[in-house]
Amino acid sequence: MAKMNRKKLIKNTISLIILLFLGLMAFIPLYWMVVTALKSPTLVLRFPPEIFPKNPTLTNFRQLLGRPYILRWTLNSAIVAGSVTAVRIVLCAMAGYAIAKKKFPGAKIFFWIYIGSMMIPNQVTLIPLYIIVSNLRMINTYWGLILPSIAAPFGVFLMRQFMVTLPDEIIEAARIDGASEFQTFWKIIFPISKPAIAVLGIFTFVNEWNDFLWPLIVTNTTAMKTLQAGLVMIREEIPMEYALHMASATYAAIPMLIVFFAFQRYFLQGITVGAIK
Amino acid sequence: MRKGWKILFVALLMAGSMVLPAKITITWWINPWRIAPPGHPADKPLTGEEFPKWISEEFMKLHPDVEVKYVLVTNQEYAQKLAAAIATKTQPDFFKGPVWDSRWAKSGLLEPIDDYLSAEDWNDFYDQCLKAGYINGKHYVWPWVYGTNGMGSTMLLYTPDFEKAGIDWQKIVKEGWTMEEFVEICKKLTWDSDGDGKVDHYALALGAKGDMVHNVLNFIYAFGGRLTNQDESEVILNSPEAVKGLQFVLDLIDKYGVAPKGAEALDIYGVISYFHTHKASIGFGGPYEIGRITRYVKEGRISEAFYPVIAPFPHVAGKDPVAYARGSGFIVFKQNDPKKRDMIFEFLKFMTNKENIALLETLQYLTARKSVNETLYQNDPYMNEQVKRYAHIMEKYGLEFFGSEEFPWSQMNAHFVAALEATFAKTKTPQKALDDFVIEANKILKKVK
Amino acid sequence: MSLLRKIYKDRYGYFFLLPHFVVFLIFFLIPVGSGLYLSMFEYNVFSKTFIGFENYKEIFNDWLFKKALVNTFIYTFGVVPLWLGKALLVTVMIYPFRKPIKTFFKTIFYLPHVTSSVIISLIWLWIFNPTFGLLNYFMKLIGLNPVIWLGNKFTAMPSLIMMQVIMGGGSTIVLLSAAMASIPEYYFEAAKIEGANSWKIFSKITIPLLKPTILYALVMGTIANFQTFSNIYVMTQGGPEFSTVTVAYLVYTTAFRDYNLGLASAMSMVMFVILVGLGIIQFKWLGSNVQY
Repeated sequence: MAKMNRKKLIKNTISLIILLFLGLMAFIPLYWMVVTALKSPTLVLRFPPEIFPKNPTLTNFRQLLGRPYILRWTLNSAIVAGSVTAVRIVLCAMAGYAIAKKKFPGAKIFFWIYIGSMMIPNQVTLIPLYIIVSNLRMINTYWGLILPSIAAPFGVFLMRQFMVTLPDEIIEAARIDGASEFQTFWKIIFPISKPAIAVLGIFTFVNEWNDFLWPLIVTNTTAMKTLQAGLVMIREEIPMEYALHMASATYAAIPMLIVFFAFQRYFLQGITVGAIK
Repeated sequence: MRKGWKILFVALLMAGSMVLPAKITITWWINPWRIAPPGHPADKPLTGEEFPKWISEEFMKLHPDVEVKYVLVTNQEYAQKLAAAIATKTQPDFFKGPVWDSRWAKSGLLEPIDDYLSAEDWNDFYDQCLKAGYINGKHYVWPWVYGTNGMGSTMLLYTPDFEKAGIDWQKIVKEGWTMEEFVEICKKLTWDSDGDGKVDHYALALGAKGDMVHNVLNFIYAFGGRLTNQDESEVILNSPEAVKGLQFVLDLIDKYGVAPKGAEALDIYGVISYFHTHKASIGFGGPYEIGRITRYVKEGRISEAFYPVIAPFPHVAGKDPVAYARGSGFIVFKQNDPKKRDMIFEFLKFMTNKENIALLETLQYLTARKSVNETLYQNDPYMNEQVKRYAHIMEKYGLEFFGSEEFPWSQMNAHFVAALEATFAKTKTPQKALDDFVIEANKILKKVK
Repeated sequence: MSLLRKIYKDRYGYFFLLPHFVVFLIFFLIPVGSGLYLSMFEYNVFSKTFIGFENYKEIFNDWLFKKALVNTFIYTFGVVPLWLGKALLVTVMIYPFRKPIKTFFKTIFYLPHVTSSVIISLIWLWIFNPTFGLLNYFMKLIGLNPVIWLGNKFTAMPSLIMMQVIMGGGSTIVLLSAAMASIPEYYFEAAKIEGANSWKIFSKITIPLLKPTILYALVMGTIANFQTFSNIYVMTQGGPEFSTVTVAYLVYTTAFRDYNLGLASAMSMVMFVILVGLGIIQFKWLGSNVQY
C-alpha cells in the first residue's frame, strides 16, 4: 500500500511539473503585457529586457486615462457587450430549445442551416452586412453594433447541444402540471440550462468586448466607438509606444477578468457539449 | 389681380428661401493625425481630434449656412469603410486617406480639381503633389502634404558618431556622397561597443517591410534601375542596373557587415529603434522623423534628446542621387449640387491656404506649398535648416518610385516585399528575386489593362 | 393540408425559433447569400458585371491562392492536433487532483481566451522581436543563437503554430474536464483493479468516453483555425515570401486592397465548401457512435 502511495506521489509530482510548465508558457505573454504596461517608456526598448520591473510606474495608465473619450468607449463596450449577451442568451436558448425538443417540420433543416453557417468566413459578409445595416439606418447606432452580433449561429448550436441532453420527462411533467409552453421554457428549461448559459454568456461577452473590426466600420463618430475600436485609434495615433499599448491592452482585459472570475463557478464546471445522451 | 398674387407668391417663395436657406452639410474623413490648431497649449496632450474639429468650426464661422462634419478613420479600417460607403452611396464628400483607387476617377466617381485651382496655386504646389492625382488629363488630388515621413527621400545622420569616427559629415550634407564613399564611411561607423568581440553598433539598419521598401528602392533607382518602361506597359525592375542596386543593398549586410543581419524581419519601427537607441548612426526619413525623436523625448521614451541632420542618399559617381517624392491630399467625390461643390472647394482652399497649411508644421510634415515651406520653423534655426535642406533635396532630386496614379503598384507591393525578404534571407539571389517579381508584376499589369 | 395542421400543432416550435431566426436571416443569411451572388460578378464596389464562374476559374489558376490553401492546411493541421493533444494531456493530468488545484489550472489555461486575439498577437510580435524580444533573450540565456522567428520562411509558420498552441486549448480543457467528470469513477477503479496501466486506461476508457467532446472540439477547432486571420494580419501580413498567407488573409487583401469583392467572395465560397468537407470527414471518422 505504501508503495502504491509513493508511486502515486511521484506520478502526481511529474504531472504537476508538466502542468506548471505548460501553464507558465500560456501565462508568460499575459504577464509580459502587464509588466510592459508598468514600465517607464524608456525601459521598453532595453536589451536584455527587465523581467521583473524594478521601478513599476503607473505613468502609462495615467496617460491612457487622461485621454478624452476613454470612459465613454468603455461604457459603449459595456452597453454593447452586455445587451448582446443578454439578448443572445434568451434568443439562442429559445431557438436551441425549439430545435432540440420541439419536433416540428423543418427542425432538422434549421439545425443544419445553423451548423453550416458556422463554417462561413466572415470577411466577405462584411460589405453586404454593411449595406443592410445602412439601409436600416443603423450606421453609427447601438443597434448597428448589437444586432449583427446576436445573429451569429454558434449560440443556437451550443444551446441545442445542451438541451438535447435534458430528459424529456421534465417537459412532460411540467405539461401535466398544467404549465403553458412559455412557462415550461421560462420556469423550467431556462433555469436548468444555467451551465450552458454561463458558457455562452462568458463566451459572448468576451468576444463582443474584444471585437474591433465591425465596431470600427459601423461607427462614425469618436463618441460611438467601442473600447477596442478606440484603442485601434490610439495605436495608430501613437505608434510604437509599446508601454502605452500594453497599458491599454491591460485596461481592456481587466473587466474581462472580473467577469470571468465572477462567473467561473458556473463556467469551469462546464457542460458536456454533445456528450453521452 | 390674379397675376399679382402669383408674383407675390413667387416673391414670397424667393424671400423665404433667402431667409431660410437649406443648410449645406459637408462630411469629410481624415486620419487621426496629431496636428495642433493655433493656440493649443503645449502641455495639453494632443489627439487626432483637435485639428479637424478646429478647422471645421473655423470654416462654419465664415460660412454659417454650412455644416461641416468630420469623421476620424484609421488606416486599419479605411479600405473597408470606404468600400462599404461607396457600395451604399454614403461616401463622404471628400477624404484624406491612405487609400484610393484610380478606377474611381475613370468611372466618374470623383470630382476633378482643375477648375478650382488658381494660377497661384498651380505655381505654388509642387509638381509631384499635383501629379499624385493625375488621371486621363485631369487632377483629382487637392494637394496638402508633401513627402510624408521622408522614407526613401533622405537620410538622418547622428553626428556625434560621425565625429567619433573622424568623418566630415558637413561635407556629406553639402556635397552628398558616392556609393564608394558611403561604403567606406559605413565601415568606419561599425564597431563593437561593449568589447565582447562581436559587432553591436552598425552604420545603418535595413528592412524589407512597409515603408522600408522606399529606402531599398532608393538604392535601386540611384543605380539607374526603373520600375517600368516609359509608357508603363512593362515592369522592368530586373534590369542589370536594378539588380546591381539590390546587390549593393545586400552587400551592406552581407559583404561589408555594416548593417545587421535579419533585415528580412525588420519593419520601419525596428529600423527606427536601431537609430533611436544609437545602435545605428544613419537613420532614414525627413523632418517627420526628427519630430518623432523630439516627441519621444518629451514623452519619456528616449531618455536623451539628440539632433540628427538631414543628408541626401548616396549616389553613383557621376550621377545624381534620388529622393522618393510624392504628395498627398484630399479627394472629392462627385457632387450633384453645384452650390455644394463650390462650398467643398471653398473649404479645401481654406484648409490649404498659406496660414492653415502651415499647421502641418506641428506634425513635422512638409506642406504642398513651396512658398510656405520656406517660412516654417522661423524660431528654430536647427529645424529650419533641416527642413530647407529636405525641401531642396526633394525639389531637385524628387522622383515618384511607383509609377503614375494608374499603375497598380498596391497589388504588386506584396510581391516586391517577398522579393526583398527572399534576397535578405538569401533564399534567392537578387537577380532571381527581381526576375520572379517582374513575372508577377507583369501578370498583374496585364490583368488590369 | 396535413402538413399545415402539423405546423399548427407544432406552432410553439416556430414560436421559440423565430425570434432568433429573423435576426439570423437578416444579419447573417442574407449577407451570405449576397456573397454567393457577388461571387459571380466582377464587383469593385461601384460597378458590377456578371461573369458567371470566371472568378472561380481564376482562383484555381492562381498560384497564390493555391499557396494560401496549402498554408491554411499546414496551419490548421499543425495547430489542431497539438492543441487538442495539449488539452487532453492537461485534462487527464489534472483529473486526480483536488478541486482547488483543478480550478487553478483551468483558470490559468483559460486566461489567454479573455484577451483579444489582436492584443495576443501584438504581445507575441514583441516576444518574437529579433532584437528586443523575450524569446531571443531566453535563447541567449541557454546559449543558443538568436532566431529571426517571423522573418524566415521556414520558421515563420512554425512560430505562428507554436504561439497558437501555447495560448490555445483553454476552453477545450474546460469542456473535456466537464465531460470527464461525468464519467462514473468506478470505470477507472475497475480497470485499475484488473491491473490495466495508465496508457491502457487512457486509450481504452478515457478516449472513447470523451469521444463526443473531442469530436466537438475538433470540428470547432478546425473551423476556427481554418479561418485564422488576425494573427496573420497583425504579425506577418502573409510574409516572408508568402509563407504565411492564409486563405482568410488573401480574401481580405483581395477585397480591401484590390477592391475585387467578387473574387474575394468566390474565395470564401471555396473556403466554405472545404470546411464543410472537412466537417463531414471528421464526423464520419470519429462520429460513428456519437449522438448528434
